[in-house]
Order: sequence, then C-alpha cells, then structure tokens
Amino acid sequence: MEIIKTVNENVTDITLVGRLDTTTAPDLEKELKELFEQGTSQLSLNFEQLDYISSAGLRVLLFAQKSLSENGKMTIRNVKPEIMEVFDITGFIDILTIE
Amino acid sequence: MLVKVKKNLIKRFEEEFIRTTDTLWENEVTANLLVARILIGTAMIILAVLVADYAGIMDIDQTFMFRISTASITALLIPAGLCLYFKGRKKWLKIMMLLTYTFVCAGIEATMTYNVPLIMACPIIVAVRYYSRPVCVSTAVLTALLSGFASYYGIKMGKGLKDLNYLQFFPGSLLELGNGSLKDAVLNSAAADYASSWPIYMERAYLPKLLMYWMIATVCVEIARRGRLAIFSQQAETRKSEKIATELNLASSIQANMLPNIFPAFPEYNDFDIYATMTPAKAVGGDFYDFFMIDEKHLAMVIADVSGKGIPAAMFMVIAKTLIKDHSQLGLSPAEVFSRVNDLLCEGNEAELFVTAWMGVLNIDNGELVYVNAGHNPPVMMLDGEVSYLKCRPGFVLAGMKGYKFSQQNMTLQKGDKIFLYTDGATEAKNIDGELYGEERLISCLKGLKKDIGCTEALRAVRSDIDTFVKDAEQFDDLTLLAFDYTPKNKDKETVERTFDATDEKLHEVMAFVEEGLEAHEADMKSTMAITVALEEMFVNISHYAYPDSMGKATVGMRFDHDEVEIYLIDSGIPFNPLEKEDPDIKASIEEREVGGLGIFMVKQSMDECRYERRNGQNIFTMRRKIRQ
Repeated sequence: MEIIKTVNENVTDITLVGRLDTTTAPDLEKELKELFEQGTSQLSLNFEQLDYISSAGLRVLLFAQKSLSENGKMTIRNVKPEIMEVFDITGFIDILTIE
Repeated sequence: MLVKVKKNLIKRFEEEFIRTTDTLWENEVTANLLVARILIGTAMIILAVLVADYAGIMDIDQTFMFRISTASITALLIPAGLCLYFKGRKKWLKIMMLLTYTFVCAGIEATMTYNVPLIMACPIIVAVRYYSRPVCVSTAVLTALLSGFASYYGIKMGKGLKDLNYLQFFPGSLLELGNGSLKDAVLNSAAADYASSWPIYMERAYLPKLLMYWMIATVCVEIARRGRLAIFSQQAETRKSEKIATELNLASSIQANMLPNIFPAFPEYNDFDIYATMTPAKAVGGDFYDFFMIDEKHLAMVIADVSGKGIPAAMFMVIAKTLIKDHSQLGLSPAEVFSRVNDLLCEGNEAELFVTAWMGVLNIDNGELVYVNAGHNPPVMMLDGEVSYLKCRPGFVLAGMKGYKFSQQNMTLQKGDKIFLYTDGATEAKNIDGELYGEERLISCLKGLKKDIGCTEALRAVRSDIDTFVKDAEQFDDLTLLAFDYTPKNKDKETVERTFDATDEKLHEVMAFVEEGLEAHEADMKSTMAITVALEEMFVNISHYAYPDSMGKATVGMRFDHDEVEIYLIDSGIPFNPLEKEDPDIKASIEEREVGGLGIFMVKQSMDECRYERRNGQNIFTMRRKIRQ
C-alpha cells in the first residue's frame, strides 16, 4: 500500500493506494501517530484508490477517529462501494464522516 | 559488523546464563520442598520419642524432654510450613531451613549426646541435595561447631541433663546408695570429678566423632559438586537434543516440500484430478508419493514405502524418488524404469533397506494405463463405480536383488474411473486393542463414498475413517494416500486447496490464491471483497493465535458449487471456536467502541453461513457465500 501525504493550510490530506490489511495497517497507524504527535487535527482521507480494507484497517480508522473526536476532524471521501459495504456491516458508517 | 558479532556473543552468553540459573533455581525449589518434608518428618520423630518417653519406654527426664521437644517441633514446623506455603520459591528458605535443622539436631545431640551420635551427619546429608559446595561446606562447619558446643554442654551440664553416658568412675570409686534411685546415686557420686575433667571427655567423646564427621562431610561435599556437574551436563544434553530436533524439523519440511504438494496439481489439465498426502510417523518418513507429467499426455503416479522408519528410511526415500522420476522422464517403460532403478539401488545398499513401490503411467488421452508393481499393496480401483483391488503381479521389492527384471501390465481406464493408492500405514493402522484397520475396512470405506466424489474429499473421508478407527492409539507407520480421478473437471463443482505456513507474511499469497479461484469462477467485486476480508480475518487469527509456541500450518480450501463457494480453513493449533466470540456493539458511540471481536463479526455478517468444527485435533472453520448476485 502507498500512503501519499499532502498538507494544505492546516488540513492534512492522505491518499491511500492499494490494500489496507493486516500487513499494511501498521504503516498507516505509524504515520497517523506521528501526525497526531505533531498536532495535526484536521485530517482528510482520500479512498479513491483504496481497493480493500480489512478489520485491521478498520482498527486504525477507529483509532484515528477516537484521537480526533474531541478537538479535531477526520473526513473520508471517494469511498468505493465494496468498501462502503464493509463500513455498513460493521456500523462504521455511523461514526465516520464520509463525504 | 564487529559490534554486531560482539552483541550476539553477549546475547548468547546472557541466554546461557539465564538458562543455567533457571535450571539451578528449579533444582533449588525441588530441594527446598524435599527439605521441608524432612523437617516435618524429623518433627514427627521427635513427637514419637516424646510420646515414648511419657509412656515409659525411654528414660529421659520428662519435663526436660517436653520442653526441648516442643521447642524443636515448633522450630522445625515454622520454616517447613513457610516453604510449603511459598511452594519452595524463595531464596531465603534454604538458609532458614538448614539453619533450623542444624540447630535442632545440635539441640538433640546436647540432650542425648551418647544416644544420638548419628544425628551430627543429618544436616549435611540434607544439604547435599542443593548440589552446592558453599551450602555444604557452611553446613558442615556450623554442624561441627554446634556439635562441639553440644558435647561440651552435655558433659558440663551432665548432671542437669542426666546423661549417664558421660559418667565415668575411676578405679576405687565408691557408690553410696541412699533412699533415692540408683541413677540419682550414680549422679551424686560422680558429679565432682566430672565437671572439672571435661577436657578429657571432650577429647575422648567429641574428637573421634569430629574425625568421623570430617569423612562424612568430605564425601558429602564431593557429592554436591558432582551433582552440580551432572545438572550442567544434563543441560548440555538437552541443548544437543534441541539442536537435533531443530535439524529434524528442517529435514521434515525439506521432505514435505520434496513431494508435490500444491493442489490443484495440474490446473492446466481438465481431464483428471489428483490429490495426495503423506503423514510420517516420526519427523521424517520413508513413504513417498509422486506424480508428474512425462510428456504432454503421459501422467506418472508413484507410491512407495521404504522399509524402516525415520532418518535412514527418509534418506533412502530421497534416492528412490529421484531415481524413479529421472528414469521415467527418459521415456522408458515403467517396467524398464523399475528394473534400472532396482539395479542402482542395490549398489552399495549395505543397510539392506528395500522399497516397495507401485507406478502407473496413464495416457490421459485414451485412458491406457501401464503399471508395474514392486511388492507394494495393490491399488484400489473404482471402475465404472465398482470398487475392487487391482489384480497385479506382485513383483519383487526394489533394492532387493540386483538384475531382477520387472514386468508391466496394462488396462484401459474409462472416464470417471478412479485409482486409490495407499501404503501399509493405512491398512496396518492399529487401534488401542491392537486390531488392524485392514483391507476390508479400506474397501468398504471406499465403497461407501459417493460415486462422483472428488479426490480431496475421497482422501479426507478415508483419512477420517482411519482416524476414527485408530482413535487414541499412536501412529506407528508412515501413512500415505493418493487419489486419482479420471473425471473431466466440472468447472461448476470444484475443490481446490493449498497449505501455507501460518504467518502474516503468507497473507498475500493466501489472498492471491483465493482471489484467483474466485476470479476463475466469475465472482463479482462485492463478493470477492467480502470473502477476502473474511479470509484475511480467519487466516490472521490462525497465524496470531493457533500456534503460540511454534510455527504451524494452515490449509485454505475452496469448494465451488455453481454460484456458491465454501471457503474452509484448517489448522492443528489450540482449539478455538471463533463463533463463540461475543459480537461487539456496533451502535456504541466512538468512545465506547471496542476494536476486539470486530473481525469475526464482519465474517459472520458478510457470509451466508459459518461453521466451526473440531475434528482429529484440527480446527475446521467453514464459511459459505454466494459469489454472484
């Protein structure tokens, strides 16, 4: 999986390319942890090129959402229908901000 | 580089140190428990003596005896009790127990100096069990000092203690009997000489004992030293056998990988299917199967069993397998292959091993099967639905007699016919009562199968029938099974499976294997996603939790049936039923959301059906779902 990071003003934009699974989820988690330590509070995730997400990936999303729920914001955009299905059955659809 | 080497060395040294101290510590704990029992035993003996004294069997001052006994019993039981309470797992227990024991023994010696000379030896004999020279030496020194003091005390206070043994009368002494007992009279008359001449008594009573004690102590210290050496050498042995075990494991996986074990074996051929397994009784085995294409239309199948088991058989197996495959690929007839391989195997076969083998070469276009047998069990044929043993000339074993000429036979297979090959590990599998599984059971098991059963299922059915029969008896012989099905593949109904190392690194291979299968059966995107997400969940579960102490395997299989697929995962790890896990609350707020249990929940949600089964020491998890809308 590829993680592309760009910063516009105070919004950090992350584009994920490929698969977010057991082996790649730790990479994203590490990246996000670093960002949060630096004080990032506005996160925008682009899932346009994300083909796959497993529960390990969901865990990282939950971690990010929890970290930012009080004084920050995380939005996800361009979610593919297959991934939307995963969000749906796990109830993630209710806690994530999906555009 | 050098720093790394140094670091490694230090690490190894530390590991070694921890291991050694661990073993010594374990020894100390067992020793502590033993000493605690000895302390309790001694307390019991003292109690018995006290009772005997009160009953008049012994002649010790009762008041005095009562005082010393209760004090000793209490002193012994406290450390013993503490030791049992801490299960021996405290550093100070050893010191406390040995000190108490030495003091109590000295106390007893002071009381009955001449009656109990052996008691001096007790503390050091107990201390030997710690296999430690310092412990032994300090116990010895302490005992010698205390014993000297006890002797002195016993002599000096002889009157008070009333130990008549210390009384000596010089020639011409007069004994005056008054109204009291003889004992009192004796004590009264001797008292005067006796208190002043204690050095003579010490020399006569204590010194010889001390010298004897010296000998006993020397032997004990030596035993302790030897005991410690024995612990070390035992450890070295363990390490050596661990190393051998590691190598055996490696050999076992080399052997397993030598046999074709990727199924479906020939995805490019649609005319037949083949499936085989080999389960060695030891780490490595002498059984083998093999199958390969000789050219585009000839398939060779081999099954063989080397006499003996374990490493010698495994080494011979490697040679035999290689020779048979090499010679077959020269395009020789099966009989010629066996004749030549036999000659080569006979050369230098000093271990006098031999191989029973069966080989068949099938023309997959017209079904012509040419086969040769070298003393192997006859295959079971399922011809036109009829199950029977193949009549074949037995032939002599391979590596038995140089120059033996094998002869081959032939027959024609019709579409739908099946061949079932096995080694005597199947027919001679024994249950606890020593009963054999036997050819009858094998054939009736095969007769009971559905006519259109696939190779994988047929083999699994036989394996499970054998396992049910054998139950808890140990597997004595290698067990090899091979099934061949000459039925053109029905794309709609197909089972494929593959075995992977259960580690996260294999995840992508597992996913690719299943995705490929799904794609070949035209699964839609949504189903592929749902199935792969579920598969990842279940596979990662196995790789993380099934084998806590070792590296294990996980078999992943797919059974397609029209527009449905059943995916199954098999592992031999610790029993675990994922379906028993509680569902997470998916309506909870973000703060209350738990990450655990989410994966299995997703699996249950996205699949049409999930099943879990624990069978023959394996976890079998099956999930079913439509692959197209």
